[in-house]
Order: sequence, then C-alpha cells, then structure tokens
Amino acid sequence: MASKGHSNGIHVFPISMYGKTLLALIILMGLTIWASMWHIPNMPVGPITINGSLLSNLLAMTIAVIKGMLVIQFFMHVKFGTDLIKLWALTGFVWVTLMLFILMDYATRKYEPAPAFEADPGSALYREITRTGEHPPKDDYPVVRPR
Amino acid sequence: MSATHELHEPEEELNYLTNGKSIRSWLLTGDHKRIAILYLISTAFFFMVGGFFASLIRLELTSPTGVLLETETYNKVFTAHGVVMIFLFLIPAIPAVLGNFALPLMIGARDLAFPRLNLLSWYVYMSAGILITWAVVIGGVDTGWTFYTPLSTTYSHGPISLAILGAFLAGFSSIFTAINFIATVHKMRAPGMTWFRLPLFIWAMYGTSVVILLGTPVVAITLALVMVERWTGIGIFSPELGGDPVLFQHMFWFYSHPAVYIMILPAFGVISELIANFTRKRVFGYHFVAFSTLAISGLGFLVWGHHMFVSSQSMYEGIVFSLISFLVAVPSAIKVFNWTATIYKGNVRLQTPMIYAICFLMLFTVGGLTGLFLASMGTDVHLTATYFIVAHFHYVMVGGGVTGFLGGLHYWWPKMTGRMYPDGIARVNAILVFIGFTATFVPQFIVGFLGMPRRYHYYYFAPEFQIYHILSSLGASILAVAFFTPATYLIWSLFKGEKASANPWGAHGLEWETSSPPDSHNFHSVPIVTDEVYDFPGVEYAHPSHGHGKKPKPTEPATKEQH
Amino acid sequence: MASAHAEVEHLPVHVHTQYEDIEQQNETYIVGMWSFMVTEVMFFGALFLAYILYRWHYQPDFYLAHKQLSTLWGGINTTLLLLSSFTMVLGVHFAQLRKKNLVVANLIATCLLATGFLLIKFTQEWPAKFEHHLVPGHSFGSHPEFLAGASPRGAELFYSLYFLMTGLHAIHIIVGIIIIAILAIVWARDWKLASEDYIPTELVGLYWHFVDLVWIFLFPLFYLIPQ
Repeated sequence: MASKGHSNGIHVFPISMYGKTLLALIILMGLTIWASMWHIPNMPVGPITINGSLLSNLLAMTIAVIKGMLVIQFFMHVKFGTDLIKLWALTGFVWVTLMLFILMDYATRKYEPAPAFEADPGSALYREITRTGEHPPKDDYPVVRPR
Repeated sequence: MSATHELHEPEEELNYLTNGKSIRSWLLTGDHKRIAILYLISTAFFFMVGGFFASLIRLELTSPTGVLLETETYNKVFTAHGVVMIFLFLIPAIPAVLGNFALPLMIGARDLAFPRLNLLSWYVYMSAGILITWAVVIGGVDTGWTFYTPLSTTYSHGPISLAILGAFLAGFSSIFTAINFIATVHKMRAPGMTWFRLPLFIWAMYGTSVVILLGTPVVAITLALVMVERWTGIGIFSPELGGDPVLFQHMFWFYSHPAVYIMILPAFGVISELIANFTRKRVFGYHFVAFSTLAISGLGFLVWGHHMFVSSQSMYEGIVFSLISFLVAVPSAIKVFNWTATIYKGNVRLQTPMIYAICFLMLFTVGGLTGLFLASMGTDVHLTATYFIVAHFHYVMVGGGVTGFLGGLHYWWPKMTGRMYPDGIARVNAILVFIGFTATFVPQFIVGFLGMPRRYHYYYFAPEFQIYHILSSLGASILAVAFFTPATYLIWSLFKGEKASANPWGAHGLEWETSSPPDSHNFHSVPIVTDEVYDFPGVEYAHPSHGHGKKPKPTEPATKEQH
Repeated sequence: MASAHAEVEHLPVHVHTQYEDIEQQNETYIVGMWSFMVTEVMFFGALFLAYILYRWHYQPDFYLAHKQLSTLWGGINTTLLLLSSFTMVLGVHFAQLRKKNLVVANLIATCLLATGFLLIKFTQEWPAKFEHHLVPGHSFGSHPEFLAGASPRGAELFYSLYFLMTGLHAIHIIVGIIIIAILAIVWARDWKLASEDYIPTELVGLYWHFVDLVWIFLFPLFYLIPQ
C-alpha cells in the first residue's frame, strides 16, 4: 500500500501544523471578542480627530483578515500551492474590492448638486441641501408598510 | 505537424456522431462535441423564440398608436425578447456551441477538463429555458430584462420570481462552462502549445470565462435578493426599509456590463480565426490582440456606471465611469485595426465565413463608435432611453455577436458535421443579413436621436417618426428571412451536402488535423505542436518576425506543459 | 518525479480518458475548484458590499440593533465552525494517507460540529428574533423595546442583512453537511468513486474552509460592532 507521507507524490503535512493553526484561530477569536468590548474614544491628535470607532472597526477587520489568511494558507494549502492557485485566491478578493467602487457614488453624492439647483427654494433638493442635523435624518414617524 | 492519422472516409470509422446512436447516448454524453450539438439545437431554438418576440415588437411599432398590443402586453413582449435573447442565446451561444466544440480540438486535448460538469451545464441551461418559457407563457414579466426595483420587488404582479430563477440558472450554466474552459486551457494543452501559440479564439474563450466567473455571481445574488424581497419582505432595495433602489442598479450593472463583453469577446475570437484563415496570413499584432482581450476582460468591470448616468448616481462617479468607458473602447479598436491590417495584402478568399467576418468589421465598428456618444455623459443624457441606445446595442450584439456566431458556425460546420453547405446560397444570405440589419437599425439611430423613447409601444405625440419605424420594420422582415435561411440550408446539408474533407478551407489549426467529423476522442495520439500559430505553409513575410516574438525552433521538447 | 510516477502506476486510481496521468487530473481538479471558489467569493462579496454601504450610513442604528445578538452564542458558533474546519482538514490529511477509519471519523465529526452550529442558530438565535418581532415584515418593530433606541428603518435594514447573510451562509452549511455526509458514506463503504484518491476529499475540504472563512468575517461584522 502507499507509504506514509509519499503516496502519489503528494505532500502530506504534519497534523501539528493544523493544530497550531487552530490554536491561533481560537486565540484570535478570543482577542477580537475582547477588543470589541473596549470603547476607544475619539482622540484628538493635533489638528485632526481620530475617530475611535473607526479604529475599533479597523482592528476587528485586521484580526478577521489574519484569521482568514491562516485558513486560506494552511487549511486550504494555498501556501504550498502553485502560483496559479495563489493568483486565483487573490483575484476573488481583489474583485470584491472593485465592487466597493460602488461606494464612491454614495460618498460623493453630498458634494452635489451643481449650483443651479440651489436657486429653487421649493424643491426637495433644496430642502435636502439646506437641512442641518443628522445624516441621514433620524426616522421619527411610525413604521408604515404600504404594500 | 502532428502525429495523427487522418481518415478521409468518415463512414469506415466511427466518428463522434455515429459512435452510439441511442437517445440515451446523446443525453448522457460526456463528449464535448455532442454537448456542443445539444447546445446548438437549444440555442438556435431560443434564438427563434426571441426573434418571434422581436417581430411582434417591430409589428407593433409600425403605427403611432400601436397596432396589436396593449401597453401591459407590450411590456411583457419586450421583456421576453430581452430575457430570452440575452440569457438564453447571446451569453451561451458562441462559448457553449463553438467553444465547447472547438476548444479541446484547437489545443490538442481529448476532451474538456470536466465532461460531466459540461453535461450538467447543458441541463441547467435547459431548466433555465423551461422556467423562462413557463414564466412567459403563464402571463409574462413586464419589468424589462433589467428587473429594476422597486417595480420588480414591490409593484409588479406576475411570475417575476420564475423568470428570475431562470436567469439565475442560466447564469450558473455559464459559470460551469467557464470553469471547464479555464481548467482546460491551463492544464490540458498539447505539448509544445505555449500560451503564445494558442489560437486567438482560445484567448477569447479564456477571457470570456474569467469575466463569467467574476461577474455572474453578483447578478445571481442581486436577482436572488429581488426574489427574497418579493417573497418575504426582507430586502435592502426598498426605500421604505431605508434601502436604496439605485443599489440594485449598481449591483445589476456590475455584472450586466461585463455580460456584454461575455457576448462579444467570443465573437472577437471567431473573427480572429476567420480573418487569419481566409487571408492565409498571421493575425497582425497577435500579442496585441491577445492582451487586448485580457484588457477588455479587466477594464470591462470598471465601466458599469455608464448605464446609470441618469439614475441619480453622483455625477462625480459618473465622470470617472465616462472616462474609463472611453478607455475600454481602445482595446476593441486595437483589435479592429489589427484585423484590418491582417487583411491588407492577404490572400483573401471571399467564402461565407469571410463575408460574415467583413460584415462584422463594418457593423461592429459602427456599433462601437456610437457607443462613444453614449460614454460621454453630456450626450448620453440626451440619448439615454431612446432608440439610439437600442440601435447601438443591437449593432454590437447582433451586428457583432450574431454575425460572429454565424460566421463561426459556417466555418466549423464541415468539421462538426462532415458536410459542406452550398456556398453560393450561404454567401448571398450573408450579404442579405448585412442589408437587412442595416435597414433595420440605421433608422433607429435617427429616430432615437430625434427623441423616440425606448420601451414605448406608441408614439402618437410624434407621428413624424412613423416613416423610420416602418423602414425599420421592413428591414426586420428582411433580417428575419436572412436569419431563418441558414437553418434551412444547413439542415439540408446534413442529408444532401457534399462530404467534407478534414480541412476543406485549407486552414491552420489542430482541429483541422483530425477527420471531419472527428473521432470521439478527437486525436488518435497526442499531437505535438511545433509550429507557430497561423503559420501557413508557403507564405513568406517581408518581416521575418512579423507578429511573433521568435522564430519556431526546429525541435520542441515533448514534455507536458505545466501551465 | 519518476519514482512517484512509478508508484502511481500501481495504485488502482481511475484516470479519466482526457488526462495523461493522475497528477494532471488532480491539478486540474484543484484549478477547477478554485475557479468555483472565486465565484463564491463574488457571490458573498456582493452582500458584504451592501452591508458595508448600509452600515456606513446607519452606523449608530446598527450598533444599537446589534445588541440583540448574543455574543456568547456567536462565539460558541465560531468555535464550532473553526473546530469543524480543523476536523475537515484532518479528514483530508488521513485521506492522503488512506487511513479510511480516521477519515470517516473526522468527516462525521465535521458534520456533527456543523449540525451543532445550525442547531444553535435555528433554536437559540433565530427564534428569539421572531419572538421579539425583529424579523423584517409586517410585524417588525411592534415591540419597540427590543429595538434599544435604534430607528426602525436602520434596525430593519440591519436585520434584513442579518437574515440574508446568515441565511445564505446557513444554506451553504446545509449543503456542505450533506456533501460531507455523502463523502463519509463513500469512504465507509469503500466506493471507488471518491475514496481511491484524496482529491475529492480535498475539494470538499476547500468548500468547507470557504464556508468557515465567510463566517470568520460575518461574526465580527454582525456580533461585534463597536460603539
């Protein structure tokens, strides 16, 4: 029968590698739960204020990415795979990032419209531009479902 | 060139058509060539169905007040035309028919990488076809093939979920085909077949497959979200829920723009083959054509917003999309220039496939150029939702895609069936396609520019448009005849056509090394590739490395390609 | 590699006619599976995009609404899924070594852990949402105390996304359990279909790790929203 570790010329990895990966994943999970319970306040640094929740989000996402990389590299054997596999693994995530281009629409909407529209004080657009307060506005009428 | 042993008498040896004649052997086949034939029959059928709806549209528009359809019904007709033509014909046609058939032959493989997945893809496609037909038959969908929210999620009645499920399945069918092609091209090329010896058709199939893989899941989930919102009220597109209907448009067009590249890249591949082989000359700038395929695959994902210039998306985003849309025209233009340069000083033989190729060059160029008007935001605001857009996309998709499909079908028909069709009739028909097509869609450009809205079945507010609509409908009748005629003479050729030799066109390529029709396993032994692509014997070039980086080596190592 | 080739000849592995040898077949299968995985990444990616958009717009409401989600159950579920990934990769490991019993044991363990995940989700988490009228629909928000001060609009979006994304994920888990169970049966009964080579198990493993990967991102995004 097949000899241990060399069947079919494939590379068999030691269980300890998988075990260490699992341990790292669980520790990171604990870390991310613990980190989510911190409250990072907004920190003024010189002229700018670093948004505390942004940092918190960034931390959570970084930990998630590290966990993801561990799963991809070790459990899915990408670290030991061919360049083509690495390329494919990368492509999916790069392409999702392309989709985030969509967000640019929403980011730049508040810089609209062209000045001409401001002239009409009766339009909804005028009311929208000149509204102060929360963005988007807080919903203070009862839930209605006109279906 | 290769070690295969040709047979000129297909009857003496079983070929893929005769190897097993029961229905079961066809419906449970793993042979990529048989699956291609199954796809050919089904896509041709759905093309006729879509064409039927098109003729209803053209008939309706001959009068300013509408001739035979009510508004609701007309909405359902143009939706059916769009859904059937796009999801059931244009997206699968060239990849699943010509790609399935020719790709393994052209790279010297015995079959695709995953034959059972290939068969599954056909069954999923047929289920999609059945669902969409069912949806049309039980009442029809009136949202347009674009399924915009909130009409599709909230306000429209009708079997929208059924139609969406059909489109969803059609998408997965194309994904399975794409997975097959990618794995095959990476891993199963014959020894000596390096990437830059691949025929350009293969490059096109590869680029198409990448686009399919990266784009289709997005529309799948978007349409699934519409279905879920219709059934359960759990949704993210309704303003009542705080959602944004424009998000649907973003997600939908994120796929649907690359989808048009899925429809045209295969046609580009076919045209490369036709022009090279019917001018007996290497494609000018082979590397440029190959890389421009990849460029279109990539850039095509960055331009979806040009369908949404008037959708209330931010105009700053619109500026970016407009710029990139201009850029994405460049690789297509590079191809057209290269093909034209290939024809120059070539030994042109005006047989049917070549006539289709030349029609393609003329029609696609017009279509592409009119696209530039639409890429520029200022003119697009005026032209959007008019017949100018309708004419533009029919020029590229029909003038480009269908012409490519017909050209490829006529080119590979002797290989697929072992029979030749009557070339005289076929050539006249090709010219008739061009005439009918031009007569149909040039008036639409004009009437669109003058202001005729699309998806309207009446135009009583502008009766002066009638002359254009009538011209267009007359052209459509000619086109209908021209599209129907190939079915007749091609089927005729199956029984009475003269038998074809292995290489009736004198073309270059591994697929022409096997018999017509090929044996079930394609090649008797693995071919070893030693010459460059499109290397016609007896042709001398003034410039020795014209179109290629290096001269062919006298011997090639016969090792398996790694990838 | 010549000696590895020679070993292959002796093993009763079925190489399909379109392949030259088992190595080409195996490599091709892996390329094909990764191509499929790319489609899955894009499939979920679109939903993540919608989530990012709406969370950005409704940040405070999402924070308030998420408090209804139990971090304890979420954490337990995450642990279960991580463990199931571990047992799955062990299954692949033993498949490479052709140790049938250990393969079957690990595959069954994977199924059980995944079923545990689903049990927690469908008996502890989702029903609570139904009781508290937090399911988008007619009765959403009719008990405002559970909204914890979030605006109904933002909260409804949060829960829509929650049900959509965890629901799609759960569908993938159900499909995964079925496939892994079938694979375990194939190994237990020594059916040559998938047990004579480790690659089918590796492919199923890749799918399962992907499912785990999605949850690794879903968990912080829904359960651990910072203030």
